[in-house]
Amino acid sequence: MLPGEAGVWILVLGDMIVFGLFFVTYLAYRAREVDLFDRSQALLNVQFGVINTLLLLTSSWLVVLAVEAVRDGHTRRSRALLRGAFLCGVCFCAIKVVEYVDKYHEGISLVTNDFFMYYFMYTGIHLVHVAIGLGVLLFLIHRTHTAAPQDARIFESGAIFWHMVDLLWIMLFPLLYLVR
Amino acid sequence: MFTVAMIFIAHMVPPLPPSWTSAQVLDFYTKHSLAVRAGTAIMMMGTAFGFTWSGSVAVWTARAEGAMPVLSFGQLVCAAWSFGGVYNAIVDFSSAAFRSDRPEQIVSSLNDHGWYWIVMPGSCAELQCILIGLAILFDKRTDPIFPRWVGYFNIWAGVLQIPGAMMPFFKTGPFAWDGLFAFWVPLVVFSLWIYVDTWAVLRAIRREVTSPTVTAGRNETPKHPPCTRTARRKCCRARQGFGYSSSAT
Repeated sequence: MLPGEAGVWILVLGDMIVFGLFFVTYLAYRAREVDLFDRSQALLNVQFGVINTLLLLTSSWLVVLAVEAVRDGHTRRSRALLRGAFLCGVCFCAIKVVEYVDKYHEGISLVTNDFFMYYFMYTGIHLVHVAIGLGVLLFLIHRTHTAAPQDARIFESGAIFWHMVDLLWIMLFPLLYLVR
Repeated sequence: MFTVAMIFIAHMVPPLPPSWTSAQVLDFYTKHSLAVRAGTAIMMMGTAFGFTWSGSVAVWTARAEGAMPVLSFGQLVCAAWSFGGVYNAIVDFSSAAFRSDRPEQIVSSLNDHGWYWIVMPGSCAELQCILIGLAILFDKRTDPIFPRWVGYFNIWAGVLQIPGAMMPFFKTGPFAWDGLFAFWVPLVVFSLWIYVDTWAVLRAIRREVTSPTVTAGRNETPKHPPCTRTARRKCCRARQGFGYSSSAT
């Protein structure tokens, strides 16, 4: 059976179609100015990207454990796990902001060239998704106070959204930081 | 009506590229002066229905929300700006064509202003969609007024309007006002959104007509204890947050 509500998949698949469009557009523009894109890409800080990838993967893993905990009726444990996942998400946002400020001080912004337009726009739109996902996690944390094992579906739906945010980053990170 | 007028009469789709010089813009408005004025007049009448449409959605989401339709009221105010923005854009286009013998800078700044009004109120449209979506998802009936997937669809439609807000930074490329992600994707999503929400409201009306008991009544789960006055007050209090009342059983 499909985990979560059927409806949440409309949101997730719809969003992934649009991000798919983002990726194709990026590759198409990149093909026109490979040199410029490669030179600009070299200015990105890959370490920040790697740390952020690990943070999101960890938080996704914590969310998986939290959903399992709800199914087993361990709501306190689930709450602690969700709080951990939330913290990872907040750290992700903090690092992203540090990265933006860093770039700004180097005199690079979204109007510098086409590469940085995509870099700032795509990571920015993804960051909005992270913020919405954090809202979902807060809602789930709140729900653990009253949750019973039969409410696991709501937690699955929330988890699906958070996994999508993670998955989009897993696609974005190599595309923007690593593709040569 | 709006779409036909915008595409075939006013020549506004595809949008005038933001990279055009003032002279090119002036040339467009001189050449299509009559067409733009006629098209915008029809678009204006079409846009007015956007407000009544939002009102009819609000009536049904308010019923889904129950006693405290906060989200539906928020949605209505956002609608005033999301459709009102389009309205302002039409005024700008029409007045640019009204005296196209003016200096080119004036005509082109009116044109800029119009396209700003088309894309920027996306922030209100985005919130409008998300609020409708939340109102639908917070409906706790076992047989909700709107299908729940419509709620998720609305949230999706809302999130996709976000990139439009960045259009002042770009004169070319996919995030400029004639670009793929600032114009075309939101346009497709917006059309789908109108279509899906209209269908959902019509469905709710049809169900009201055929079996009034399904949609009538307040936002209560059947799990509730018999509604003595104190029990009801307790339910209401439990619902006040965001309508989650499963703990009140």
